Amino acid sequence: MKSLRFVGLIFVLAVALPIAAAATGSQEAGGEEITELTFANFIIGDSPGGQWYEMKYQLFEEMYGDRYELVVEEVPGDMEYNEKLTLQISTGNMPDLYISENDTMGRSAYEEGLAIDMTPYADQIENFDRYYPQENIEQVKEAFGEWVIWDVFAPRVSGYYYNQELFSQVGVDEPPRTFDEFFELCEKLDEAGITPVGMMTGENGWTMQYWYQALVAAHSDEGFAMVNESNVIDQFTSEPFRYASEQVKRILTNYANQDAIGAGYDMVAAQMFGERVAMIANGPWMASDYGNPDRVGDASFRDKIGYAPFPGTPPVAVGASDSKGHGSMVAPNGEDKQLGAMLFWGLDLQPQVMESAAEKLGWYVSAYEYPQEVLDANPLVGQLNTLINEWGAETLPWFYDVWTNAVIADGITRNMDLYAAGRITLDEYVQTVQEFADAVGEE
Amino acid sequence: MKTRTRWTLIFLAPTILVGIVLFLLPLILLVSGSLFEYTELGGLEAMGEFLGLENYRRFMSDPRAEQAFPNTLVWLILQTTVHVALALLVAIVLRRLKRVRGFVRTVYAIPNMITLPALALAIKMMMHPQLGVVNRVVEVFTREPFSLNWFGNLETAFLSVSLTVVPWAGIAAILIMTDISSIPDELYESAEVDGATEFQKDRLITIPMVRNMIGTVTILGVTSMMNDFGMIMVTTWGGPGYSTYNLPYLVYQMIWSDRNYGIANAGGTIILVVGMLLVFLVQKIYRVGRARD
Repeated sequence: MKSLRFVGLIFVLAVALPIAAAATGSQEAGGEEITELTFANFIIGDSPGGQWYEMKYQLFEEMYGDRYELVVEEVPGDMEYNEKLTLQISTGNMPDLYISENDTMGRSAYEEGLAIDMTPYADQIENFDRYYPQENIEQVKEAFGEWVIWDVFAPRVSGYYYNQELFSQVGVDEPPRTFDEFFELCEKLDEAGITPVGMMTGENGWTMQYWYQALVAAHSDEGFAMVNESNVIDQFTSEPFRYASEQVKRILTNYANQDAIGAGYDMVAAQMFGERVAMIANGPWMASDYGNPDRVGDASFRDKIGYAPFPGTPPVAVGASDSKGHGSMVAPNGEDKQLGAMLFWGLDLQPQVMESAAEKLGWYVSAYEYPQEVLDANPLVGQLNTLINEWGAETLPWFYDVWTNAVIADGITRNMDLYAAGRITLDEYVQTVQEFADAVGEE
Repeated sequence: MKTRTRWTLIFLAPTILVGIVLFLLPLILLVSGSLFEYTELGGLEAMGEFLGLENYRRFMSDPRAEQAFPNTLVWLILQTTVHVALALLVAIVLRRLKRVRGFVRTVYAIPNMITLPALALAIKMMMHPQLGVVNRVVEVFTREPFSLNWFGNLETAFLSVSLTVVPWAGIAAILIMTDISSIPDELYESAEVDGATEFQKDRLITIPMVRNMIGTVTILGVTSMMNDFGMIMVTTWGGPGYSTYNLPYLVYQMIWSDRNYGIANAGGTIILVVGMLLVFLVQKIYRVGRARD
């Protein structure tokens, strides 16, 4: 009977103690109180980004483990993350650290009073004055009035990756600088039985949107101006957009992978890694995949790949993200947690973190002098930057800041399916996209 | 109050309480939310101007609904007729093949045990234009290169998504088989003595005896089609265009993409009402819950 009571006592304690500990939200360690920090993150798993964050978690534990415990909630998928954060913004119950994925999310969080001004914490962050790009702070202040978004790596300049070996097979040694040259190349590749472009209209039409933006910019000064500003909601029946729509249809129907209509990113990327397509548009975070044996089988595969700005006249347009609406944020959950959160984001300015970001993600901090071996580890991004300088390429805002709302992006991709299949005319297509934009504008 | 009644109420109280919290309150929020301007997430306090039935009009006139309504209807009919009939047929055949029944039951259960995204991805890869086995099989028969983007082609996407629902018939078959196995052997033996053929035994004994279960799986079919969009989300995201939208996916999009919760609530209410009517209808047709004839 006694042993039964003892077992019962152990059971009760086993259940009650964790509950009690969880309820308090902090623990005692060596007399010091440890504060729990919650962080919702979608950059997880074995991806380069996931590995980079894992490294930061360990570094945070080493540097601040005696004061803080970081509890990471992994949310698989950026769409799911967007939904989760939207819900949390509406309830006001935010994790201590979170990532704003786009202008809409960052603005909503700020307007609901769920983002702190980071200015008072700057002097407690190591290397802040040396490396943090002050222009990024100014951009955020211009957009929000306060410095509420942390991003030391912006802007992340994007272009398109191409398979040099496949280009060589049709006698082309350099990436095209104009869209005339681009379509000429597509024709040659197609005739040689090589699928020229990896495109997708599923998910959010990611790889297609890059080309779309570049084509609008390439049309004329008017087009360039359209995609060089944020929050465009009234120009979808304009000539530049009509022109770009026709050309995107041309690519989808003649020069893209057969599953482009409805494909998601993973399917298209797999075709690029498998040398089934010759080009794919994407950001610098894809660069390390080309040297990752798990993705491409052999790390030397990267030697076949080049990274170039998009074609265009006047100067070549390159999609990029800046730090206005997306980046890391901190919820106003109390002074101690706010400091802990800022210390975690501050790790971005540690040399090993900056170097790892360059190697794994192609993200660079402009003021930091990288060792040559780090630059050599990710030559593709360096190649893109070189071509941008050589060609005098302009940097455009990211397409998600141009047609900023997910509803418009959805309107573009879904109706492009119908337009590419010949179910609707160009007039109907642009008019429908404009209606989507009008609905957003009325909100 | 009699002691027995009091104790009955006491024992029922937790269930009633859970029912109120989990079902009645959300139901009230759903319907009330559909009557107001409702674009900020939140409870009653987030609801704006009273709009009456305007959100219902907006939902019905949404261009995506033009595709979602007929799609849902067709999938509903397929699920509650073709798939149930298929399940019944398989169950009747297996009644006679007692030795393989266990094996078949396991085989049918497998697709329904695989987690949905994995199953959807497997099906998507099978039907991939370049890598998929389906196109290769077609090539074997036609002896010509064949490369159809089944899920991305406007002509075939609907059919392709429809095929992904077929494994559900396996679960329906298992349920009907279970009910068939509870029919006393004496009934079949008596029928045999009277000279009944196998077809007559099925028509006059098996089918009437499993009427309740057929009604039950039909109800399950209705509910699955009125609230499920997982397979659509993984295989086509409702595309190409809007060709594979169904009503639940449209409501999902209205919540997370459009962020218009008033219209989404109106859609949710419509689905609920239509679903309840259909369940009522199925119960009437199959006389679900009544004793075996």
